[in-house]
Amino acid sequence: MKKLWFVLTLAVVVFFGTIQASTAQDKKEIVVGMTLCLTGRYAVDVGTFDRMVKAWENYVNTKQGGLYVKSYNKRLPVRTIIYDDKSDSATAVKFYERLVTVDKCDILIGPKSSPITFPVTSVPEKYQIPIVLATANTPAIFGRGFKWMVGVNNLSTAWSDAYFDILEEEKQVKTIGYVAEDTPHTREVYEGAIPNAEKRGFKTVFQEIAPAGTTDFTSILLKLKSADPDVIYVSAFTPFAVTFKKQTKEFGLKPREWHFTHFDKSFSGALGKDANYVTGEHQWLPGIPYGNLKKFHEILKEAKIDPEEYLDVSLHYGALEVAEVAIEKAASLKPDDLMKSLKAVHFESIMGPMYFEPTKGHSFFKQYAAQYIDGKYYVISPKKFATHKHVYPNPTP
Amino acid sequence: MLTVFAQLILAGVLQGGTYALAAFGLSLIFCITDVLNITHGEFLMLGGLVTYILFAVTGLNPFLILFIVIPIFVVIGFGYQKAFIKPILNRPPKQLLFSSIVVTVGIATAIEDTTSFIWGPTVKGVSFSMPSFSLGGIVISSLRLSILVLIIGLTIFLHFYLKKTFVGKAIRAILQNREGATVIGINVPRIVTAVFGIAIGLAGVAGVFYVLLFTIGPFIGLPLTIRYIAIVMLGGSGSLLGSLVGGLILGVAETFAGFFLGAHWSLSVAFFTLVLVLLLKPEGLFRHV
Repeated sequence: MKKLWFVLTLAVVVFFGTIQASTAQDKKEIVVGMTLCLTGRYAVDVGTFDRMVKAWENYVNTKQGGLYVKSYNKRLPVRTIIYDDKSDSATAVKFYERLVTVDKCDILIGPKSSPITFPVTSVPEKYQIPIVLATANTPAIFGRGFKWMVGVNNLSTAWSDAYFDILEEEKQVKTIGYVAEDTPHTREVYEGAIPNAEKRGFKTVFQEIAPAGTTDFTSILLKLKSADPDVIYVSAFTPFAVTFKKQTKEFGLKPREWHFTHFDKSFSGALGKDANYVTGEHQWLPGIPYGNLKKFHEILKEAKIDPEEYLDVSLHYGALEVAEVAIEKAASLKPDDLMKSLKAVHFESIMGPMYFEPTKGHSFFKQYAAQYIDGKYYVISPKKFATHKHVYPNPTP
Repeated sequence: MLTVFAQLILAGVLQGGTYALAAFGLSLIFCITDVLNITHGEFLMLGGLVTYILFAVTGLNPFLILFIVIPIFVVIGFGYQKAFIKPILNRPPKQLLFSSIVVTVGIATAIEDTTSFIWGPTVKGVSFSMPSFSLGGIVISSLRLSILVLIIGLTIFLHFYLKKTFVGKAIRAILQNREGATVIGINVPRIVTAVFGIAIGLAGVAGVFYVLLFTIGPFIGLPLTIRYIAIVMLGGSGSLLGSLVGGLILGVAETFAGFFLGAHWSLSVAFFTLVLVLLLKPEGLFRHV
C-alpha cells in the first residue's frame, strides 16, 4: 500500500513537473510592456518614442537574433507592447495592470514623468514583476522601499550637480538667483539645486516659485533686477522657460549667465539667437563616449528621432538597455531571477556607467551640463567629456 | 516705488490686452448663439501655428503675417459654423448649451490630436524680438507695446464696426432682441455665420500675438479657453468693453499679486478677484456690446 502511494505521488509530481517544464519550454518570446504619453501634455516630450521602442525591438530581433535567455540556452525574440496612457496616471495604472494580468509581460518599462510613474509603481510591486523606470526621478518614488523596481535616472535633487561642479572649479560665479516652475519635477530640481549650490559656496540672492502656465513675469523680473545675480537659474519646462527668457530680454535684464534646466531644440528654436550661450542640462549629447553608440544611432535613425530635440530619449532607451542586460544575465525569465539580475546590473550604458542604489533603486547617473553656442549644444561638464570650453560670462549684448 | 508701480500697471495692462482680444470673440458667439465655443483656444493655437509656419518659411515680419491670418481665419470661422454649429443651433436653449459643449470639445480634441500628428507635439515659438526702451525709469517692451497698440486699434475698429455697419447693427439688434431682429427682416442665420467669422478671425489674431510673446503647442487651447470664459463672465457676455476691462482686471491682479505676494499666488488672487466681482455683480461688469 505504501509503495502504491509512493508511486502515485511520484506520478503526480512527474505529471505536473512535465506540464510546468513544457509550459516553460513553450515560451517563444520575451514580452516587454510599457505605456508612453503618446497624447496629452507629456506627448511634447515622448510622443514619438513608440517609434524608438519598435526600432529597438526590430534591431534586437533582426541584428542580435533576440536576447539570450540562460535557462533555455538560446536567444528568444522580443515583443514590445505599448499603450498610450494619454499623459494620465489613472490611465497608465489601468494599462500596467493589463500589461501584467492580460499581456503577461516578463518585464515592464516605466512611463514618462514622476507624477505618472508614482502610482504606476504599485502595480509591479503588487504582482511582483520587475519594472525599469525611465524618466522618473522624484525621491518620493524611490523612498518607499519598493522591491520590484530600478530607475535609470538619478534623483531630481542632483539634477544640476555637474553644472555646479564646473562653476565651483572656475571660481567666477558668486551669486545665483533661482526661479522655478511649480510642477513636482521642476520644483524638486530647484529645491535640490539651492542647497547643492550653497554647499559649494554660491550665495542665493533670489528664489521664487511661479505657477506653471505663468505668462507675465514682471513681478519676478523686478525683484531679480535689484538682486542682480551672476547666474539666473531657471528650473522649468520649455514653454515656461521660453516665455521667461523672452520677457527678461524685453525687460533688459542681463545676468552674466542663464541656466535653464530643460533646454531642448524647441527652446533654442523658439528663442533663436537669444538662446546663444545659455547653459542647461542634457542626458546625452554627441561626444559622450559611452556604450554602444552605433546601435543607439541606428535605432534613432530608424525611429527618426533627434536626441537634441527629445531630451528624454536617452533615458527611455537607457531603460531598454538595462532590461536587455538584465535579461541576458538573469538565470531565467522568472520575475525573481530578473529582479535579482536588475539589481546587480553594472554596465556602460550610452549615458555612462549604469548601476543602482541597492535599497532605493535609483541610478547614480549625472546629467551633463551643456551650453548652446552658435546653433549647437556642447558638453561643458564633466570636464573630461567637454566638447567646448564653458563660455562665461555670456558675451551677447 | 512709483516706477515699480507704473511698471506693474503697464505689465498688467499689456497682459490683460492679450486676454481681452481672444475673450471678446468667445463672448460674442456665446451671447448671439448660446453656443459655448470650447474650440476657441484651439483657433488661437492654430493662428499661432500658421504664424510660426509662415515666419519659418517666408521670414515675413509677424505683423505683416497678421494680414494673411485674418482673412484665413474669418473664412475658417464661416466654414466651422456651417459644418459643425449650424446643425445644432435649432435645439432648445439648455440642450443647445450642452450640445455645443459636447460638439466643440470633440472638435477641440480632434484639432489637438491632428495638429500633434502633423506638426509634432513639441512647442513652437517665433524668435522675433524688438528692442525695449526706458521711459522715466520704466522699461517698456516695444514688442508688447506694438501688440497693445494693435489690440486697442482693433477694439476701436470693432467698436465702430458694431456701431456703424449693417452687420454690426444687426449683431447688436440680435443681442437686444432676437425675435424682434427676425421680425424686422434681419437674416439671423447669416449674421450668426458672420459672428463666427469675426470671432474666429479674432482668435486667429490673438494666436499671432500669442506666439510672438509666448510659445504654442498642440495642447494649449483648452486651458486658454477656460481662462477666456472667466474673463467673459467677469466682463459680461457680449460686451466688447467688458472683455477689455475683464482682461485688464485679470492681468493687473495677476501682476500685482505676483509682486506683493509672490508669483505663486498670482493666479489664485486673480481668480479670487473674479469671484469677488461676480458675487457683487453676478451679471458681469458690463452689459451687451
